[in-house]
Amino acid sequence: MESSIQGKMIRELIAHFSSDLLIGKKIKNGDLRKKLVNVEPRWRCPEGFSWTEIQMKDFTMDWAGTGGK
Amino acid sequence: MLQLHGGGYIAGMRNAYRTFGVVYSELGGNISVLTPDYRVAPEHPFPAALEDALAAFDWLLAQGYGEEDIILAGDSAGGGLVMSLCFLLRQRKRKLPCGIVAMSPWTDLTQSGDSYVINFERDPLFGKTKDSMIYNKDYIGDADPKNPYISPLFGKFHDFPPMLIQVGSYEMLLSDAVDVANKAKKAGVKVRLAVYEGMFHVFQMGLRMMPESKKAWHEVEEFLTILRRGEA
Repeated sequence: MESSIQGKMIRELIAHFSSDLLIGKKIKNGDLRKKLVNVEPRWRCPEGFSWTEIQMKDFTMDWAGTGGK
Repeated sequence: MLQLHGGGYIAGMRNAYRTFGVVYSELGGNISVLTPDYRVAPEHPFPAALEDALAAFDWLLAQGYGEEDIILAGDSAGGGLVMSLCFLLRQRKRKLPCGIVAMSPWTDLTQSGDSYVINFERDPLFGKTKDSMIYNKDYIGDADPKNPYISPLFGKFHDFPPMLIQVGSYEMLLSDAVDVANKAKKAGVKVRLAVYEGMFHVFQMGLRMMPESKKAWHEVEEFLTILRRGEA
């Protein structure tokens, strides 16, 4: 079974950007992925969910949920 | 749920995983989701990520959850890390979580699988070069890449909980998923391996944009329901 039209389009879009001379290398080697961490806007938690940042000794954690279980 | 994010062990937490957390919570029937921003290389090579994953798991236990309440989920490096965490728990004679969801898991940091060759030209994210994240050695450092805590493919899967493993057929990491699934099945583990035709690395990021990602998340929902009912 072939992939969907949407799937094929997104796959080709990714291939297009990842083969770009300017940013392709940074996509493939993870440089762009690393930078995203620092430039992303602050997370906006959807209504109905709670979101807490927990500080551990060496790292932080996100604790998300509806307070259910 | 304890979710371990992807990023090749060199990139930290990003908002996409906070969105994943919300989706997991909804699909799991309003479960809570813990996502550690574990330490990454090159500043923090192996075993830092694994140590942090264990610390996060222990944090859940300290909150009153039992191992049987905890599902591990991860994509890419996080998908391998959830398996490494299970090896570590088992080695310490501790109870394992009740299930694993692994999306495009990176389980072989020696790149020994067929798909590293077969899909070299067609993988849209990592293909056509060896200067990509999946060849990066920063996390391995001086350790042996065949160490199962680094490359779970080389571990033994006996006593593992049920696993749902999803992967795209165009991925260079296809073998990482297929080979682990086969090995775990042979060890008696209940494994559902789903290979999505024409899909790429962690295509589930497409959420509702693609039929394939919608189907994959629906499959996750079914798996979580089965785990919750204790029917696995």
